[in-house]
Amino acid sequence: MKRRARPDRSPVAIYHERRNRPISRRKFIQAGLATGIVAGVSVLAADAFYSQASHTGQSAQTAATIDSYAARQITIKVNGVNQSVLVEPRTTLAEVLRDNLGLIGTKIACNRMECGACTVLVNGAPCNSCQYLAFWADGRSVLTVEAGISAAAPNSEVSPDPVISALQYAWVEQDGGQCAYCSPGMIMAATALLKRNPNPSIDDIKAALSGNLCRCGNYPNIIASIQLAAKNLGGG
Amino acid sequence: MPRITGQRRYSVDITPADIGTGSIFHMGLVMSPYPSARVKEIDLSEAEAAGFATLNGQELGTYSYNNPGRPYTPLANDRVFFAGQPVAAIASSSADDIVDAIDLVNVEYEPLPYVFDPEEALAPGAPQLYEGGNSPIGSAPIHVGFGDVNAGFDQADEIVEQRFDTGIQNHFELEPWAAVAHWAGQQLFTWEKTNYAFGDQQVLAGYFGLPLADVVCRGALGGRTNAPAGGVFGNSTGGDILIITAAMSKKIGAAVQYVATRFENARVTASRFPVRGYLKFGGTKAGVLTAMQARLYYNMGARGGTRIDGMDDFYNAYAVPNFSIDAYIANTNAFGLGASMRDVGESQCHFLMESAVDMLAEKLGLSPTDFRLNNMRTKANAVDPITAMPYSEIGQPDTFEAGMNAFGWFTKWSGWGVPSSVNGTKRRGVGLALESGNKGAAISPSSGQIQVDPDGTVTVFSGHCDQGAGTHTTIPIMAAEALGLTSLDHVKYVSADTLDNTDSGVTGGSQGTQNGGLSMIAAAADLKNQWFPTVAAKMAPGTKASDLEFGSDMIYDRGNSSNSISFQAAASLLPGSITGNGHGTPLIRSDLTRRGTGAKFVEMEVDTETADVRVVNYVGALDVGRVVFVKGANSQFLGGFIGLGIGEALFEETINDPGTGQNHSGGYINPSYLDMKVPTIRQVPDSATPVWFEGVDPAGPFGAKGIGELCLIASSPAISNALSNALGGYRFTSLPIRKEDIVSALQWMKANGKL
Repeated sequence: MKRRARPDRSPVAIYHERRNRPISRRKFIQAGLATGIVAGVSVLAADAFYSQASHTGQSAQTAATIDSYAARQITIKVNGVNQSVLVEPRTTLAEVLRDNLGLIGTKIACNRMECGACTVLVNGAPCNSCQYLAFWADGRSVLTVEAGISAAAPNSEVSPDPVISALQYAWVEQDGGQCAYCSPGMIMAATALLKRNPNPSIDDIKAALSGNLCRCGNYPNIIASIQLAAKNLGGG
Repeated sequence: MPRITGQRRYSVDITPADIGTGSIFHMGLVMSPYPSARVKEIDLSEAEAAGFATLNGQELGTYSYNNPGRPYTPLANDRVFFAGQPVAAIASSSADDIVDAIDLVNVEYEPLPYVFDPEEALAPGAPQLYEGGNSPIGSAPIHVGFGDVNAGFDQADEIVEQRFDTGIQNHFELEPWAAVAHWAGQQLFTWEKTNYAFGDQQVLAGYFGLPLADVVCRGALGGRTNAPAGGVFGNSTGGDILIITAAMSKKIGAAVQYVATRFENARVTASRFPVRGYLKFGGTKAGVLTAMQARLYYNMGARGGTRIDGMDDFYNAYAVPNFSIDAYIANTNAFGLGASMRDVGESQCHFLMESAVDMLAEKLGLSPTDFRLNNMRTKANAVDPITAMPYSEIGQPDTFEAGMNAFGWFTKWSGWGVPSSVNGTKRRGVGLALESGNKGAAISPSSGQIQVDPDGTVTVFSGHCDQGAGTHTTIPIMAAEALGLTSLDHVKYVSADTLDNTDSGVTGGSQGTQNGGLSMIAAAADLKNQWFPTVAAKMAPGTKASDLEFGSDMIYDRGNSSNSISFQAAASLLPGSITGNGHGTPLIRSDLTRRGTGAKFVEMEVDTETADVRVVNYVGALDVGRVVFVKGANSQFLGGFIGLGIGEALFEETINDPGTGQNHSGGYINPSYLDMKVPTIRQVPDSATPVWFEGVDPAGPFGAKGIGELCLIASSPAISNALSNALGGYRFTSLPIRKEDIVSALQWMKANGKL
């Protein structure tokens, strides 16, 4: 959810500001959808979060203004399967995963990039999907917690990711989750860790998971789960 | 497993497809930025013109939930009493529009003077929240006492007097509070984040004037979904916001969902109330505690205030002969509702008590361990002095001694104010805190059922919710135990659903194991009555149903153990499923004092250059009666100290802007994880070791007592006492112990030649 108006302005001032705004976002989108998809939005494609690479070149680029709220069709490879979704610029990757694709394993807890519950991997790198715009994921590969054991379902198109699966089994063994709301984010951050460092020390684990909060205080079990998974994967 | 593969739905994950309601509308709240104000006008016309649904207090009736004798509407009509109090609600078909819709609501406030401090609130001339004064109990304090404290102080060789303060805390659980409400005709259905679905049902039925049978409440999706809640920690959810959600749903004739934002979450739920205490303790050089006296101020926020705990901890932890507490309860504008946060006032009182006890022990020249061993309540005097009820069981001093030894106390303790070790700039100190919690006596109903199918499948029914403490394992374990089953492979679980379950009490107050277990025992007994006659008829001739018992996966004759039949075979005799109905309530021993006791031992390290502190080692000794679910118990142990205890002691506080009382989040300065620091993985100590003492409480199911809150209580004084030991005896008198306080301690040490 986006943030609300700053209330150091009085409600009366907000009221007058709104009256002077030309058109509400809602009305614009409705108008846009009624006349068909509006094309030609310039989007900054970001590699991870902070680099400013040039855009993908997928759309004919005009110098469109930043308050063009047009929706656009994008393609994200999610857990090995290409997904095409229609999203507008402010949609986040977390919202696409949860609302458009029904993958509710990725959790939103703070929606402000403070807690790590929404951690997924984008091109292998962990990111806070609640603040990662969906447009940035266009043409990229996203891995979520559903790529683990549940990908072994009969109608699945891909086989389970071995690292995620190993972590999930270890999680059950070592009681890695109490309420388990932080667990998907923890598991994805740990997946990124184990893929680059199959034999992490406790300090490595703490550094890699320092951006993931667990209010149940289950951290020692989380550390033990990651160590067990590392061991079962042949590292550790 | 389904929680970590992404298949399990929490309340925030619920979609229309899950509950078959067609579309869902999304609700937002307009909240007061002022801690105290008159609401002059709420203008909803623009929001309505833009197509949003609206709801205001004029459309809602009053009730007194959590505020007895002072009815109010869930949406404020004319007065607001805390920043963040909802004054209007809007709903939109799109979740994206909520912020816009809130912007369109124009509320005109007249800010009023406010008061945050409990003593100020009770003093003459304070801004009044309510007619009749800023207290739900009037100006006179609650008095608890026995003996003669003046005589006790006369006998004392030394007396300590000190004021202590704890801070406002919030749960900051990861899953935000969320609910969906939907009406089908005159029947109300809700799916919400809760630790008491039946409590929600009672509130809603009462508010809307419905029979209970027409209100169905579920923890998340309830029923057979092992419905999880993403952390509750005793948050008194439901109440106002659930009513608003249901009222909006009724008004617009569609399902309505509300998900709190991170900024809102701490304001739509309850807070841990701060306790201020002026303590006076006295003792003799021989090491005997002669008197405890205290004046306590409970700051309960704008609402709440008749449910407070902690006072009985003082005279149950210690066998003190003379005791007097006067407890004042104050309403302030500091926050909305003062309530439970993994205990209801016991953490606070333990900080006060164990800090003062350490001060007294030092003044008398006794070590922390000697003083506790001399004065703690033990088997030798196991009676509550106020109620006169004997203890069902008490594991002291055994539990304390076990912890002391496991911690290696005597290898580390070097004397008052003398660090246990110094290594360059790193100074370490050790500290301990005794604990005694009123846990085990059931405070709410206990019931449950066990169903057996002809194919041998067992289904356990319990109204309890699961927010991470593991009741969805613990309760089936106890049912299986009662039935003699050696595995849970064929055991199913149905929970947190007012349609499928019966009221099993709140999953809080360390009740889950108690209530759940007692009802399983009762259900098993009822099952026997129904089932065993059929079974007896098929066993050796002359077998009597009354001689049969559950054994390991079988039923056997007490008089002749070779006369037996497997559980599976016995089940196949059934013409259809049977259900044993269990009421645990009659099994509750309310004539006995039921308490969990123990102690916490902590080693802290301070960096004298940077003022960084960390927990090095922690040992928590606890008499839980019986450990039912080992893995779960260990996790609760870790979580209570690391997740909440360290935060309470060192980082966490809800800060209200002292200047204006308002800020952009509509309430207080630090409503997010960025500014309200909860413990991270970096706060994990080098070691955290549980020492379980199984005293086997005869009044508990299979000997078990409660556990959840006891894993947190006494964490903060143990940490504070250890820091004091590391820092030359500097005494910390308020929580949290901030970096500035450590710096003050270091400066004091330098000024006094201790560093």
